[in-house]
Formats: sequence, C-alpha cells, structure tokens
Amino acid sequence: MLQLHRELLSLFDHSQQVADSRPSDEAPRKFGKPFDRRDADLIIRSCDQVDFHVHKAVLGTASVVFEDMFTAPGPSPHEKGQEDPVLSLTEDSKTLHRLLTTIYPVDPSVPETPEDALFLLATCQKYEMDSTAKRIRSLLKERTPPLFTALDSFRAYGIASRYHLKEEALLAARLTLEHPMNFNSCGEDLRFISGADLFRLWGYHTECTKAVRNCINQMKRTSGESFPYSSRSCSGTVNIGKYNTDELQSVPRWWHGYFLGKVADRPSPKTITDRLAFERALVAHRGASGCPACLQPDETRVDNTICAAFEAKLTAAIDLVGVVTPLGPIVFSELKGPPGSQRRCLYMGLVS
Amino acid sequence: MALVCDYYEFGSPFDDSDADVILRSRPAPASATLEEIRATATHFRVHKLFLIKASSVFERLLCETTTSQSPNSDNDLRIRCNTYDDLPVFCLYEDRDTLHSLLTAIYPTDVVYPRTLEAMMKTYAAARKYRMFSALNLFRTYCTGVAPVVTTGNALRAYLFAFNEGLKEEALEAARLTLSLPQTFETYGKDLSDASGPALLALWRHRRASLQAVEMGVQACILEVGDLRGWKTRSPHNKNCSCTQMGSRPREQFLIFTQRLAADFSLMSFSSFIEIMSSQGVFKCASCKAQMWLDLFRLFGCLERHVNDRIEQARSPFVLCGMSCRGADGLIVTVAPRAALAFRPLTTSR
Repeated sequence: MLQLHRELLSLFDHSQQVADSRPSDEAPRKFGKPFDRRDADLIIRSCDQVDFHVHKAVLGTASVVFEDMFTAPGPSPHEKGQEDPVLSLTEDSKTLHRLLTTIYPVDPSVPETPEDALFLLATCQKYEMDSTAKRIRSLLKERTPPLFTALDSFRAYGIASRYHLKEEALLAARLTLEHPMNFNSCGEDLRFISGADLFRLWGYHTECTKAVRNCINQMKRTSGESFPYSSRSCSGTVNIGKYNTDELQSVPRWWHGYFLGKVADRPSPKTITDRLAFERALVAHRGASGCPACLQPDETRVDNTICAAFEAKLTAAIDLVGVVTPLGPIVFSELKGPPGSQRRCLYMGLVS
Repeated sequence: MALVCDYYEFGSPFDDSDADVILRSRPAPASATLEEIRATATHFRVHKLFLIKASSVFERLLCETTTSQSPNSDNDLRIRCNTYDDLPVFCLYEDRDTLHSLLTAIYPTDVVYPRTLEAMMKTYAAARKYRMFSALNLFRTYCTGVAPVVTTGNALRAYLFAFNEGLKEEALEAARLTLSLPQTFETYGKDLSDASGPALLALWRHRRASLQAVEMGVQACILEVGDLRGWKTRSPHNKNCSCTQMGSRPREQFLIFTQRLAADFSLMSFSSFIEIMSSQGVFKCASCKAQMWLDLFRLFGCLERHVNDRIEQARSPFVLCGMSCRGADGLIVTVAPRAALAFRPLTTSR
C-alpha cells in the first residue's frame, strides 16, 4: 500500500492518537502528583512515554479488563525481584490522566473538546469501565456550555460511530437534524465519517423527516374532519383565544403549511418551532390576510405555550426514530433514564 | 481434480517445462465453494527472464537472491517466498485472474483484459505494485479507449476502488465522471458504504474546486463570445444576407445554457447544448428576418475549451503538492500530475 494512501487513511483515525501511538524514543518520564505515590504497585505508561504510578486494586475495581489481567495466573514481576511492573498502553497521557482522575478520589479532569470526550469514553469501553463511563457522561452533562453542539455534530457522529459509542452517536445524530443532510453540510468533517455511517445517518434523517411530517399532518385532523377555515377566517372555526395546546389539534390552517415548510430538509423540532421565526410568520399572516383573530406576535403564549408544546410533540415523534449503528439500532427512549434523570441528554445540547 | 491438489496448476501457456520460477496466487478463503475453486491458490510456471524485463520489483527480488535457492521476500509488498518442485515460488497477494491478466500482458500471447470494474482496478493496482508500467499502459489504453469500463453509472464505485487501491489517476478520472451526477445520497445509494471518510472528503473537495472552475470558464467564454456575432455563419437558404445586427435572443439562450451548466455539469454535452439553444425555435436575423445560422459546434467547442482550461488551472496548485507527497516506494512518479487533485487537500491541516 502506498505510503501516501496510508497517510490519507490515517486522517480517518483519531489523528492525535494515531500520531501519538507510534513508539517514542524518548525516555519515560513521571507524571507526578497525584500519580507518584510510593505505595503504588503498578506503572502504566502512555504512548507518549509518561508513567503513572497507580494501584492495581483501584484499577482492577474500575476495569474488568485490568481485573482479569491482574488475576490471570502466572508469575508477577514482583516475584522475579523486579520493581513495579510497567504496563504500556496505547492511549496518550492526556487521556490516561483524565481516566485516572475519574476513578481516583481527586478532582476529575473533564474533556474540553468533543473529540477528547469521545476518545475518553471509547477508552472506557475498551477497558470495560462502565461505571467510569457513567461518571464521565455525568460530568459532561454538568458542563456549561454543552460540549457538543449542532456546529460539530457531523464530526461527533462520525467519531462516535467509529468507536461504537451508540449513545453518543444517536445524540449527535439528533443534533445533525438542525442541518440539511447533504455533503456540503458535512464539509470538512467528512474525513471523520465513513461512508457506511453517513449512509445510516441519511436514513435516520429521512425517517425523522417522515415522522415530523406525519406529526404536522395530524394537525389537519380536527373535529370537523377537515381543515379549519383558511387563514382569512381563522376565527370562523377555531377559537383563537383558546388554542388547544395540549393536543394541538385545533389550530389555524396556515399553521400546517407554515410548519411543513419549516421542515424542508431540517427535521429538528428546535428549528421548526423557532420562536422568532414563528413570531415573524404571525406578523406576516396578520398583515397578508387581515386576520384579526390570531395571536399577537408578542403574546407570551407564542413562546411559552404554543411553540414549547409543539416542540415537545415533535420531539416525542422523533424519539421513536432509531439510528442504526454497526452494533444494532438504538432509539432515544433507550437513553432516557429513570425519573430524576431528565438532564440525561443535556450535555449534547438536547432537552429530553 | 483441483480439490485433491495442494495447488491448482494454471496450465498452458504457463506450464512450460523450462519455467524457472512459480508465481502462486492468493488462495481462496476457507469457505470457498466448488464454484470458487478457480480462486484457489494457483501456480503459474513462468520464466525469470520475462519477470525481470517487465518488472523492476521482480528484477530486484530475483537478482538479489541470496545464497539459498529461495528468492528474497518483501513484506511491504506482501510477497512471501517458498519452494515447490525444486523451483522458487513467489506467494503473491493477487488472485488468480489478476495474475493471469498481468502475465498475458508481458508474455507473447493473447492479452486477457479485465472486463469488470473490480478486475480492472485490481489489475491496475498489481501492475503498479510490481512496477510493470508497460503492462499498465496497455491495460489503460484498452480499458479507457477501446472498451471503457468506467462510466458515469459506476463512477463512484470506480472512484472508491481506485482510492482504496491508491490509483490516483484512475481516482481523479472517476471523480471527474461523478461531476455529471448530482452529489446526493439518493444518487450514491449503498455504494457509499464502501467509502472511507478521506475518500469522501477528497471527492467533495474535488467537486467544489471543479464547479468553481466551471463557473470561471463559463464567464471567460461569455466574455469572449460577446453577442455571438463572430459565430454567425452563412445561411444555406439566404446566402445574400450580410446583416450585422444580431438581436439579443441568441445570447440570451447561450446565457441560459451556461447558467444551467454551472448548476448541473451533466449538461456539458453537445446534445444538451443544441437542445437548449434551439428550445425557443430558430434564430432570425434582426434586420432581414431571415433564418439566422450559428456555428453551434464551434461555439460549444469554445465553451468546452474555456471550462477545461479553468479546470486544468485549478489543478495546478494540487499538482505541486501531490508530487511532493511522493510515497516511500516512489510509485507516484509515474502518476500524471493532474491526478494529484483529488488527494492533495487532505495533506493540509484544517
């Protein structure tokens, strides 16, 4: 295989990790406090030659893989009269530091970039550190502003999918709904997304668009089995003063066309129910049709009741759409924890 | 019979008794069925002389033979060495059909050309890997000129094959063919599943640069043609017409075509040009109202030249970088400079 081709393909890998994974000629150096205690019985060495003095008991408790390693039969280096055994890992010192601060009783070092966060979670997955992964996710949820945003959602989706992080892949896929699903939207982030994952994401977008349109089309099913009268006579069949925001079944006809138009290629509940855009649409509607009955654009119910209720309705519809991953499909309801964990998805910039 | 043998003997013409080396193809996987037996490790009994003359890789391996009878191995090229029937054996990564095509290209026998996209790419990749450039050129001439294998319909698959095999020139040509199709998920479909991220990124960048070049080429052409006066030709029905007034409609139709072309490169064909130029009926002379004739063939040629020139200019910076990114094995030396276009941007930091 051509050297250049290898370089190209390496771009698909977690670039920093790939670069750092190469054996280094540097002499190992100690990380220092708090991973330099004398009572440590193991040294783990990062790929960039940084030594962390740790305790097998702590590592074994946190990780099934390390526990199995430590309890496997065979002579230990201590028995051979050597010093603390050294375990060379493929992760870099930054990742190992974050991992260790999460399992030791010290201040945790929280990832500062989406890539770092996903790689840290992937490392937890690799060493089967489920509790640690939960704690990291919890720390990420508490982070303000959220680490993951719609801005880098395609990249996050690609990396999460590659590391088989189903939860993060789905949450990132949800954020991509705020963008049109095309190659220009992915842009430079294409390098992080395999074609297979991209194809699955397109399928997810398509299904979400269908779900959202179905939800909006349900607006048509009023008690009169037809549209309310057109916008010219909103007040004819719809009691504008009492929009049924619980069911959103009794609404002016123009709402249907407006929201359907907003779906276009961005089936995100957030963008469809954008408050400012809705207010502008109200103004345009009243100006164009002379409708005296619809809400005033500045009525607080536009923000607090109608858009919020409609967003919740659309969100519930999208929650039922799953994203397919190499490890199987996953739907949003699987991510929602028990009562009391409503902030489950906040760290991805989503409201559950 | 092959089932009971360790290796399948290919037979004539690669079974000469005076053969002095064996090329062994990649064996079939364990799950191979009877139908797949043709893919079982096959022996080609060949002559060192042909290999040495045709391939600098085999020349190196055969001429640097150490004291043992077995020739040298090359782990980078995935060539292992062995012996069989007292003959040295090169165990190669390529399958039976690929080696067969390759050997027919260097032996004085009928050449077996690859017929499918996959076979073509595998053969190209093998020819480049073993530095058999005469054979590579032979296959290229046939597969692109005589019996084109890559078409607009399979351009994406061709691009991905070529990218994965490190065939830059083929990747670029296939990428160019994809310009005739919209870059959408509906168009690409499940072919996308074979794509790596870098391959998609390179393709996206190639399209972006190419379409910008098309726009610039169109603008340059519009400037040159002006009101199309220079493209007026003598009418066969009214040879006496020497009016100099053109009217605005020919230019308007031309602008409509160029606008559509900038948005959809698949229109870059003479038939589409004729269709749009004549969509509003014949042009009439603004003065004498007689039917006016334009040399549309020459006009389209002018447009094509401007567009292609701009695309070539857009490639220039890629060329330099692409050539500087030569691989350790030096194979890139033979790549046409424009082939660097699809790859260069990936080597730059974001």
